Amino acid sequence: MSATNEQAFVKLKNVDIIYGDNASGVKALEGTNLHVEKGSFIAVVGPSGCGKSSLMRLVTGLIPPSAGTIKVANKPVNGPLKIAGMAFQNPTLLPWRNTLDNIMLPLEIVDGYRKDLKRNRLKYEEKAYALLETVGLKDFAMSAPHELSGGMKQRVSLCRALMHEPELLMLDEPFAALDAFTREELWGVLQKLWMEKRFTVILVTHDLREAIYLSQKIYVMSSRPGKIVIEKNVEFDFPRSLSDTYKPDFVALVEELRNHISLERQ
Amino acid sequence: MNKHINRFGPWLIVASTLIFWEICVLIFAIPKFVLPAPSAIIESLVKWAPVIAIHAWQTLFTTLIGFVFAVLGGLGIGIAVGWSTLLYRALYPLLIAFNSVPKVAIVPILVIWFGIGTPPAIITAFMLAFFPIVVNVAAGLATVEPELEDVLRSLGASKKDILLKVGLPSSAPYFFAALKVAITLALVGSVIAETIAANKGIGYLMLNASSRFDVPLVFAGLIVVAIMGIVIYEICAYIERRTTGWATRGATSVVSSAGGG
Repeated sequence: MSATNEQAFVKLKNVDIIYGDNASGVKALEGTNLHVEKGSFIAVVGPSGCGKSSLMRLVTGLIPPSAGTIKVANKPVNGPLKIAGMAFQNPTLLPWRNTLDNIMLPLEIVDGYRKDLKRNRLKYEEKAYALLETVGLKDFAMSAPHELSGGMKQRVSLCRALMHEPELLMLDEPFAALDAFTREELWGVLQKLWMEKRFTVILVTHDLREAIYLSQKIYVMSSRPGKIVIEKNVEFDFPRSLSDTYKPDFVALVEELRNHISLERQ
Repeated sequence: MNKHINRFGPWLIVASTLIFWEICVLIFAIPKFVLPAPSAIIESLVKWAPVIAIHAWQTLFTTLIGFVFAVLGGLGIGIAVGWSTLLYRALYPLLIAFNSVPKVAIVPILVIWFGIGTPPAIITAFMLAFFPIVVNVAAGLATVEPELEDVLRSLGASKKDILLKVGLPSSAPYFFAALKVAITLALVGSVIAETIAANKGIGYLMLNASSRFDVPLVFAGLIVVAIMGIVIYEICAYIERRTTGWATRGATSVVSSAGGG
């Protein structure tokens, strides 16, 4: 593994996760080491069932590790993080709230905001509108979720994950359920947001092009028990465009990673 | 044309059924004490209107009081059971047992405890209406997506936050669907109790009339109960549509369960 970086924002050391009891349980993750620097964008790829989602829930403190230590922002994680934004394959919007109220939801919960939300509601709504504008949904603030397309819902979900300006954004296959065109469009949206705000992102995906297009560093995991087998830096300059994804360097990297994964599957 | 059929179709069916009924009674000369003709029922309805009104009011009163208690208790226990796995495990067998007992069989016990009159009717209405509300509220709370819970917990949400922001709103459609079932069951409960042990109420009136072979009055009572049932059901359905319209458009499908009498 790479040299230990003391500045790492997210740091996992020899982490195991075992579901069930320790002797006979299913090992989902084994000896996982991960260092994510503040403001960086990393991707975790691997065959399905390799414990990628366990990794997500682990880093956000939603499940405790069976062994090893996890630190976020130099503090050990021993409960839900409170500073993370999360988005999943399923947009999980609240159907009884319109777009604006859906993305205001984090402010009703996160500690620093919930107290002064009433007083500063207008200011926060402006912020929400600004966020909606960056993802191209300004005109849909008053729409109900059922009036939005799948891609639009996923944008709203992304806005909700970013509304409280989290330091850490966790994305669990956020674009997997979308059609190819919408997915590629949203890569651009996400990249733009990240370049503007520079939050730390951990993206779990099994789309290699997506991982390479978006991230600075890719971790390849082996199948059960999940283990990080390769780290790969992605050196291409930002911003990356869709046409970059067809350039020889890019294609070669996709192929290289694909070969690693097919080795892992055997 | 189609629009008119949609609108008046149901009334047309009702009217033609009544006419058919009337004609059958006339042609076959069926005695009044076996099957009274609609005209005879209406006649009886008009003749006894003031008396029927008193009894109908009593039945409506016990139904509504029992229903209100069922809503309060059902919401409370439904939320408790949906909120805590421990309470769910503890209360579930008891709830099932409670629901399995035929409520008619409990009425005599209620009479021993509370005497003949209003309380047994209220309690029977409550017992019948209570269960569907508990089950639906608990089921509604269980439908909260685990991923959404993850999102909220990673923001630092407490269990109470999750309940208030997500759990209760998402179980609202289930709750309002249950109200429709519950209000009708409450009426059933009231009438059952009244036919067993009461000196007032439509159930009592019908039992009394039938013992005097005043069959038109029995049918008149039946019609009054049916109309009351339809009206209170429609009121609950209206409240449901007004409050949780969002649920009928989304993917959420609403289930409702009915208990047995």
